[in-house]
Amino acid sequence: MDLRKNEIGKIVGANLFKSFNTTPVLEDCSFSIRLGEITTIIGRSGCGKTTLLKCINGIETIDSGQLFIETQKGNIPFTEKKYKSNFGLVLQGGFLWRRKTILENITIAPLLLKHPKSETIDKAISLLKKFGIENKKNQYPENLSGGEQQRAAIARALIMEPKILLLDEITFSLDPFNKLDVLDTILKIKDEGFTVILVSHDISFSKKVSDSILYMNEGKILESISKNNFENSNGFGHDFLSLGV
Amino acid sequence: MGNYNWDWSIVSIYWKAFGSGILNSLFISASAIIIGSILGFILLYFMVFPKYKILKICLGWTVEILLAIPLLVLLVWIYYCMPILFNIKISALQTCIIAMSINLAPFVSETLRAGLDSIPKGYTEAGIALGIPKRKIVRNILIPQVFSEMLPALITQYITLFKLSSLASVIAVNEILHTANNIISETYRPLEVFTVVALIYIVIVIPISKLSRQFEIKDGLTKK
Repeated sequence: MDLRKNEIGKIVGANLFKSFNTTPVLEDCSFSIRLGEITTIIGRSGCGKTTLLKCINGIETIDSGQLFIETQKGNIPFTEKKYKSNFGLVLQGGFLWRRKTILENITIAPLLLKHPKSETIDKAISLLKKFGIENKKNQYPENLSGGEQQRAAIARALIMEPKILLLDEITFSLDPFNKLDVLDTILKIKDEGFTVILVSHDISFSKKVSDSILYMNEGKILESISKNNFENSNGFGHDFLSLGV
Repeated sequence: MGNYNWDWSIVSIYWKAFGSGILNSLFISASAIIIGSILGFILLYFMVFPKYKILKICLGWTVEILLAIPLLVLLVWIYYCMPILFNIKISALQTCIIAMSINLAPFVSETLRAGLDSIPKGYTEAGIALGIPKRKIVRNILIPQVFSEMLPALITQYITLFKLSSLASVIAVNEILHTANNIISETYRPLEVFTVVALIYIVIVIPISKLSRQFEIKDGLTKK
């Protein structure tokens, strides 16, 4: 079952465990993220945010626990092939392929997966237009600014038509103007009915962009804070959120 | 320059012989570069995507052994031992191409493998996140990226191989150095002949070397 845009439901993780060799990264991690919203996962470096994001996407597999998308029509479990196609992921740093132009970066996945060429290129051009980087289509990633690279990476993820976009440290090393561009891009994506899950250290950015914030510590989600409570949270994430001045 | 009387007339007398030596050297090197590179890619492919673990171990050892054998030893061994051990008769020219290809292949494979290993994991994960099978990520995205990034190193290796083609003279292949020895035996003018040989190598190698530096400088990243 494919998700529709504006689908009502949530992504649920229950008692997730994940270790690398013998080092536990996720330990009894449970959460619920509403579809159609922007949710940010915050927490100290090394607390497992990126691993959680990769597990949600399916790049990493969980050792145990339950992970599924809950909709009104039923659940889509992690193990189902359809689960993964609902997600698009932008990793920290974007990882645009250096020797491919921006247009090639965006079109290579659908073309390798045998999508029609002309349709793919049209779709890529319209995404580049939407994000204001159409004039960079024949440039290599190195020739783009940090903000443009991030927008190109988002466009690359969106070409596969995911309904849920996962963004890891999307504002990392960006100047305030580029951050604003990215903020604008994320809000635009949300307005189109996408679900966005961010991982970020940037508290003020997270407060501006998110509908809810999940506070994570030592492999566990300790608190879910909704937008109304960002300023007066008294829970686990209080100290962390108050750093965003 | 002492009292030596240089006689450069040998150049005009033996230019055809020199020309033929140059062509033979270029032919041997070009053939070995093409065959060796293809073998190198095949080695790389099976080492990155081994069907069986034992295959990867065997290929790893093959690469180690080939890297340890000097080209001259390989050349002489194939030329003299193959007919005795396996009753296979091959010409000196064929021996030379085979030995140089076998010598080059592990260098190509190891250079590209080192390049692949140096690529951050995120480039592969970005492809997996888009739903591209890992084999296609490596074949269609990472290897072309590594190849263009390692091209200067490969060109340096190709230049070295061209220079090593002079070793073929020990099994009487008519490349530049063997031709030079023949001319010396006729003219008794080793200084002139070896000077010409050195100049030939300089004229061929320096432009290729400069070209490889251009790749490093431009890095191929500005698409016109």
